[in-house]
Amino acid sequence: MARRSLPTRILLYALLVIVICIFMIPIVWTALLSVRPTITNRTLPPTLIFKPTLRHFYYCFANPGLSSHWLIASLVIASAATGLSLPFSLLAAYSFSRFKFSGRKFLMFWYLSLFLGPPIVFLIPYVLMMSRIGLVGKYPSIVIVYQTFTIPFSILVIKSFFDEIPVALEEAAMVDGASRIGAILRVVIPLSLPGIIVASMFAFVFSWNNSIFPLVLSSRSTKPLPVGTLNFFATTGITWNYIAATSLVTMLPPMLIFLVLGRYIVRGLTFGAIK
Amino acid sequence: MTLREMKWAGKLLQVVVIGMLGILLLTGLPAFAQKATINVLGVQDPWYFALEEILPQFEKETGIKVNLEGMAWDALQARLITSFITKEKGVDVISVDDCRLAQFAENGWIIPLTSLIKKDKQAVKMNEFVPQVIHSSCTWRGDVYTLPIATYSQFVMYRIDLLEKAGLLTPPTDPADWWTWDEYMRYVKKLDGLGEEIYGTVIVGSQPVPIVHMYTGLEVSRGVRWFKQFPEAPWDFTPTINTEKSINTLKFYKELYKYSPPEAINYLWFDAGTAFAKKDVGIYYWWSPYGYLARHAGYMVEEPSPIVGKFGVSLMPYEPGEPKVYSLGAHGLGIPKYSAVKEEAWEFIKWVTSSEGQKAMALTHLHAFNDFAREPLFNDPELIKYYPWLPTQLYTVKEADGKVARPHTPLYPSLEGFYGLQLNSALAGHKTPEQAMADAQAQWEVIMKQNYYLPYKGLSYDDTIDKTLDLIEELSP
Amino acid sequence: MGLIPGVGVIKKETMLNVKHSSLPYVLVLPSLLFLAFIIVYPLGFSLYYSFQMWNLQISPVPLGPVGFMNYRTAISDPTFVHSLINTLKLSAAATAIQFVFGLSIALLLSENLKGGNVARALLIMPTAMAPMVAGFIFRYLYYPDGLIPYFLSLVRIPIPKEGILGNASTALWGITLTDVWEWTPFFAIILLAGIKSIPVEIIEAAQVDGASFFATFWHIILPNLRFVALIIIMIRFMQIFNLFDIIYAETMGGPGTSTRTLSYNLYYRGLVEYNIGYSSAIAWIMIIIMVIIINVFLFLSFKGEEL
Repeated sequence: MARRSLPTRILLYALLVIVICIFMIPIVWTALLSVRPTITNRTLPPTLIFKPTLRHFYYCFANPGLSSHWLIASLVIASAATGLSLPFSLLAAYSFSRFKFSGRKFLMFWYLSLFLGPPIVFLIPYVLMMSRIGLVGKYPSIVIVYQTFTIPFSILVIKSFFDEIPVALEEAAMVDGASRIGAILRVVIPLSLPGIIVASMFAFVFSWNNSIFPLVLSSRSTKPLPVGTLNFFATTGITWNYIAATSLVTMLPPMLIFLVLGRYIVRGLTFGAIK
Repeated sequence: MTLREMKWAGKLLQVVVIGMLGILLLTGLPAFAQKATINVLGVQDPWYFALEEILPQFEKETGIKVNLEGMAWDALQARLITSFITKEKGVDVISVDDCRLAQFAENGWIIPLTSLIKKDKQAVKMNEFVPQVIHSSCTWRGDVYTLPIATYSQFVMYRIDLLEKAGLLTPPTDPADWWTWDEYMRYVKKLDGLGEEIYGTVIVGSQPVPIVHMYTGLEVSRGVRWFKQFPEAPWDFTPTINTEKSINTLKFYKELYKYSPPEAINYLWFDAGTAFAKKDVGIYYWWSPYGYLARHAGYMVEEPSPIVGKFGVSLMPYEPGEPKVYSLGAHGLGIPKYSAVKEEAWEFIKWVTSSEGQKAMALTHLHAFNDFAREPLFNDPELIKYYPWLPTQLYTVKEADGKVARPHTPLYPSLEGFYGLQLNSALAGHKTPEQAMADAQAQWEVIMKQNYYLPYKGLSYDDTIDKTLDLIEELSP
Repeated sequence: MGLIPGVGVIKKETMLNVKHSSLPYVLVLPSLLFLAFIIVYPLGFSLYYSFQMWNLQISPVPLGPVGFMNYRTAISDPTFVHSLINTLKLSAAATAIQFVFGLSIALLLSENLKGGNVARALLIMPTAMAPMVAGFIFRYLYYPDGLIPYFLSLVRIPIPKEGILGNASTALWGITLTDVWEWTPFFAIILLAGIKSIPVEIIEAAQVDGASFFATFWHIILPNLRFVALIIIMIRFMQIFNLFDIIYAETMGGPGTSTRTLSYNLYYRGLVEYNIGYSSAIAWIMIIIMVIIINVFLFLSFKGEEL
């Protein structure tokens, strides 16, 4: 690419800095909010110099430590939802990747529409359904409904990774006497393991971030972090420091995962459509 | 498939299936830890925190273990309704906000307590209750469904120092000197702008629910009624809110907003209290708990607010020519139909709503509870020491009728929701008061018609205060 | 590696032709059955009850079939119509703004500036967080004494006295801004990948021919991005269309109904008012609208192309 002139380069760098600031300032501000003394929360002009305190984190995570319950719930739900989706998605992804069967396009479209559709639409009857069998407020009802996006998502993303493995390898294995299942297990899956892990990490993040299902389906003991944070918004006063502390912990794992995922982000965020 | 392959595949399949089941089971485990105790669900109002503190006393006296769970108001309603639909056995005592009583009772979701009280007249002492409370908040179709744990009336609070500065006399605490809404407005106008950042009053504007709670306190005392005939029989749910009186009341409320902080249009219940306690607000009216809440810097926090000792409590104004009726709200404790331990639940309710229980709650270390329903408590010198405005509060309780201020029909939530939207729109200037009331009336008619309430297809019950007085006498020792 | 537009994505060398085997269906069956159960059953339940009168406020059991009454009520309900308009406004505006900003940032990043990789890593952070958390953050920032009004006051842009989220005309913009902040990096990163996948030779050839930056952009970059752009626009449009979390965190549909979207309205009717019959009708109307929109998008982006 042609080299830009110096003034243009300076302008571009300045723009870059501005852009980074715009997207980082709210996050940094929240981090500050989590360690400010409460008095400095809402001053005009904003207080930039203050003595930081860990009191809010202590309240949230140690004593009485409400947020740590929510943290555990988030971990359990996201892990279980991701784990549960794997067997289903692996099988279907393989089928979509390798076979051109009738109804394939329709099915893929159906899966796509599942997580592009409004979750609230089947949430209400789902709640009534789950309440009849007494599962509202317990983990299984939440983990199961998460499958409406973890499974379709994992299918589409894992499929895109399977697509990169030439069929010739499986065919070679089968010629050597392996069955199709054996070929899947011994050739396809090991080779696409990084991709499967990538897909799972995305599914984990989406499950971790989901707030609408647990809003209705969770009880005090199964509330994940985003929903639990709503507790701090009591109609009797909003404790922003606790909200910030808990929010910080809520946003860190997905951010770390995205950092690690690096070049796979594009594929993951577009559900395998773009590499 | 070769035999070896099949075994391999079979083993893998087993592992996968077991793994899945394991995950599901593990996540389902918390469901299995249940003990034989009572589960109490309540809203996190001040009574909840007071109750928390005295629970050990109850457990020691009766040996019944209590799992107390509190949550925000809307979360509680959602949780309760879910528990009813699912016939959940593990909910034993619930706090019923009186405006939901009709819905719960009509649907048979909570059991009537009348027969239980009859067997236990000495313990319950129904005659101690101010009859208006029982009438407004605890009965439905002639049965008692809840006993009040926290009763809220509405009164006026004012800043002594600001009134002095403006040269105004303290408002009345004696019914002989009752004052009018026009005088109230005069006070508001005089206090507004006394100094920088001093507001005459503060109102609650957030829709859909909070604004209705404050607005109905004003509206009912000015003669506005929601329906043509209710709760006297025969019930006629023709909405009657599109009247001149009603429009004028909305205009009055709009003017109060003019002298409030502009953000008040989004204020929730506690925001108004906070504004009074922290900012400079001259005078306002609100639920009675805000009397003691104004003493603290934050909700349920020890630190005192800046206005401790600087505010007073007085009676609500009235409107000449209209009967003195005020709003009453109460949280009552009821027993869901599906509870498995109803006897223990009843023990809990009796204990907590008794004079001893209520007094203990008032004397907890924060001294943040005086929401009584039993008359003797209002005159108890030990309690007056901590809550000096109790006598004034008693008057406001006695002049209240919650069933008229916010008619407790099963459809109340829908009606309130739409009403709140219209009131808020009028406040924000999106609609004229005339338009807002007309829209409210029209939509209410639609809602009532669709739900078989207009004309009313059910059985009316003549719910008068006399009938309640008879009931109370029947249930008294 | 990238996509070559116009040719589609058939990968002959990875497809197997197994015409008469039932294996493909067997492999898909577990996920299909599972999802069918947790989705189709509730949706069917919902369809059935949309034709019934069932309002938990007045009765614990349904009160009999009422034909299309619930649907008629929904269409004539001013709140529903308003929520539909809000949703369309929000989706269109937010998607357009995010796309334009995202594309600009992508172009900026494609200049291979030093620190571009760090920028990319940092930029994706907003997208990583839960929308509800973004809602909390911005609710705090929107306070009359918060950062955003403060910055606005520095450039002399007035904010309404009730606060951005408290004023009916600005509240929806507040929601839009939160979503734009959170997802513009999504557009930026993906469009950047799209730009990078354009063969360098094409761009250099154009520059050798003396094309200006804008000409290069308009005639070379944009057409090559068409496929990618359409996909992510569709994905985001649908996601914003279904938006609930941010609204729940920031305004609960208020003030009035100015930020009430279709999803929030459905939530309110079904899980606050517990009018099961009515909310089921709303749900099905939403499904129909959604299917139409997705089909329009798919038609526009995949005209004749293979999946």
